[in-house]
Amino acid sequence: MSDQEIPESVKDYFGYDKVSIFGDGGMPAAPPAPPGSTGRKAGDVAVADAVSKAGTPGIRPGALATKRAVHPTFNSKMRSATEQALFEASMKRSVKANGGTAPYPAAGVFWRGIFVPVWSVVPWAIKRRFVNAASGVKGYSSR
Amino acid sequence: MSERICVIGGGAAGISAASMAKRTNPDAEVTICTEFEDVAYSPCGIPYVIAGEIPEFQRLFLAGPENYAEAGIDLRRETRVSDVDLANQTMTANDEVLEWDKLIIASGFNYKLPEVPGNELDGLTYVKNIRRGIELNETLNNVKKAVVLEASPLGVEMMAALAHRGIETHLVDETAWLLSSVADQDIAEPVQKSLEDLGAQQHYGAKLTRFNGSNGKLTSVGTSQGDVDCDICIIATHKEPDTELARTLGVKIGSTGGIVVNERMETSIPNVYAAGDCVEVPQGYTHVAVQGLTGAHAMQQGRVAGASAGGGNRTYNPVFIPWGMVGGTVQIGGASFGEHLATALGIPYVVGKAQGISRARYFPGVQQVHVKLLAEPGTGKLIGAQMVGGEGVKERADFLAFALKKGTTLEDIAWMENVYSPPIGALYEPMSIAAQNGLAAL
Repeated sequence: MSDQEIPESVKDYFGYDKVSIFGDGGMPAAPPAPPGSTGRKAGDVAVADAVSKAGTPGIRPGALATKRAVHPTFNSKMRSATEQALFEASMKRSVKANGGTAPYPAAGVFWRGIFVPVWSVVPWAIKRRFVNAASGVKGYSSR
Repeated sequence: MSERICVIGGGAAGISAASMAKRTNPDAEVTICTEFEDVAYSPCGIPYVIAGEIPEFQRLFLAGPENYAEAGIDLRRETRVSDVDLANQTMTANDEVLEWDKLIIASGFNYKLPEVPGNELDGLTYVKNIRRGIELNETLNNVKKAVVLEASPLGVEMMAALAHRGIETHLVDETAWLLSSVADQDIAEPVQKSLEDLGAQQHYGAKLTRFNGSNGKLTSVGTSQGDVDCDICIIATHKEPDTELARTLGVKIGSTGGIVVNERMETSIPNVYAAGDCVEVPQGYTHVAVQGLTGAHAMQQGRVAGASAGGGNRTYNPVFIPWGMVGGTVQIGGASFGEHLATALGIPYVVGKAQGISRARYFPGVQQVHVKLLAEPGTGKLIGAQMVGGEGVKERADFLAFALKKGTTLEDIAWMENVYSPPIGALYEPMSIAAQNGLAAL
């Protein structure tokens, strides 16, 4: 069956007749909201405003969507350091086996040289309890 | 007097929270305060307009602010909440004091600031809200070289978008492969190749050391592998929860830096709820706190927070995080753990892999689908999945996340029923083959 043989009624109904024949095509992407609609107005206003400001100085919402990290808690610091070291070690292992570029050695000497080797020999059942105590979410009854 | 519910934040979580609160309690006075100019658009579509795949930004808008007034919601744009008084249950929004009975914090995220010299230079760019996205799109007409910092999901999308536009694009990432916070090396490799084919030059294992500039303008990005010249740098670092205001209230903060909530999205303070990128929720398999998930997660969390604040009884379940995206021309995705994350945490697993196809082998457009399933040794209970291929990744990721939630085993998947129809599915389902291979390893 060719594309031309698809009944017009089927094309009208589905609007994406090629899917059943060639497996590609698809519905046409949604056009902008119709003129006069609130969505269209919001889009037009945003584009006109942003285009007029492009390349001009000024602090605008979202332009500096970053903040200096707030003072982390002890738990956050521990989590961040252990994750860094464990992820790095796992990546190194993978790259050693499969080739590729090694990660930048960002983990500290203690974490890389002592924590990772010790962690690797602790049974998962114990690690699981430790991880849960340190970084688990409490107070959830819908587990 | 009707209940007053105030929402801080107009993103996916904030808007869905307000809508659900109003639906749950139609008599409530619901107010949204957002510091941004726009609501009701798809920020996730911004990279695709920049790439030229979507012809105009207007298409990302779904509705205008008037629609919220019609729905009985008081939407206040460009309104910054500077202070919350818990004792009197008030907040200061653009110097106006608003009273609330229930408060929902949906303050979202900020990109992690690269703490290196030169991070104040003009040319460091953050893709977050649509107006700045439109400005960036205009600016790019004069950009010849760009750097994307970190191969996060946004980083990958922006890398493809910039390369697609013909801009000389470099990725700088200190990890070993793309999307390394969720993906395995073998799963990421086809995406890296696809991006390379698009012209994106990827520098892995390269630590950012500084931003170099002249006259306050960025000229190059310094890395442990040398300097990369550029006119602009897209910062696509980790999404850090924006908890600045929440911390002033004394709300409990968790190990990710996100707000701690329970399954009703209640914070540690009565009548204060939170949802979206500013909160942490438990990962389904380990119950470890995770944060900075997808827009779909933010929306669902917002709905639960809104229902709870409105007096309803909805709960948010631990997450198995189905994820998926297109990198270059390749689809990549998964759910829960891959081998890399499981190895890092020390979770024991067996793995079943399969190279399947997306349609009947003789059907035009048939694509390869590589599936990898991880399961507990002994029980065979699924603990995660990774996929890469030409098509059909999203549906499989959704299915596998649901299967994970229900405690499905490799045996279940190996003997699952599947759709067989030449244009949309092969006789042998790739997930099923992977599970069969995994059973052999149990």
